[in-house]
Amino acid sequence: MQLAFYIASAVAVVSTALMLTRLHIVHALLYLIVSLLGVAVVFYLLGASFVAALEVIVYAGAIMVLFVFVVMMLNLGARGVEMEERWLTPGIWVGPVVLAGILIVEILYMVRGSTAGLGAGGVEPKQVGITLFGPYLIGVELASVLLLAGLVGAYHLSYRKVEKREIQHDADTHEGRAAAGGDLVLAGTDRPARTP
Amino acid sequence: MFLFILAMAAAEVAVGLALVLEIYHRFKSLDVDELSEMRG
Repeated sequence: MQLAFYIASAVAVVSTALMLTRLHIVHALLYLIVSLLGVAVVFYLLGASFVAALEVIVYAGAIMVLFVFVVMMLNLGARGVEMEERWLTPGIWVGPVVLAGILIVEILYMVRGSTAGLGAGGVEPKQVGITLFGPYLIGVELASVLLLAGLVGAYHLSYRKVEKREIQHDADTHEGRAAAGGDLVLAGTDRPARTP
Repeated sequence: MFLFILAMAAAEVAVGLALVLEIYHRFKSLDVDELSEMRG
């Protein structure tokens, strides 16, 4: 059990380190997805199987997929490589590594000696559901309001008023069909028919 | 607790990516140094 934890956490740490140093942004995103899957395995080994499934489905499966969609839609990869080569010099790692190293030393000092049992106190999904309907009900409602606000905000930020000229045809489909070049499928649209 | 963090991360990523798309649509690049229309 301990070996499984060490393997999964090593995978998570190594893939995060690789993610930080990649020049191509799509490579970095894929390494981040691998890191999240490693963290999900660690969650499962700690007994939180529901949380592990949610981490895979929501975090790696929805949030990271959004990132991949945006990056691939804007085609950021190839242009960004030379920019990253100029900016990501070895010298800039000194500051973040020193500060994060101070934090790691502090955390290791605080948890030294205490051995948390792996797999002790596994939480069933049924328990999670009962607590979400019971004591944490307000949190669930607030989370749903937050998601609604995020949805409306994202829609409003990307709203574009599109000016589109509409070709009006009579209700008779024969005219529309002739205008579309004899194609019944395109008869109701304003798309030009394909020339064979 | 983790469920609430997850829901908040999802909402934040949605709004943040909408902002990124808006910046790209307006300035045609994602270089933050290009966003200097305010004087001063």
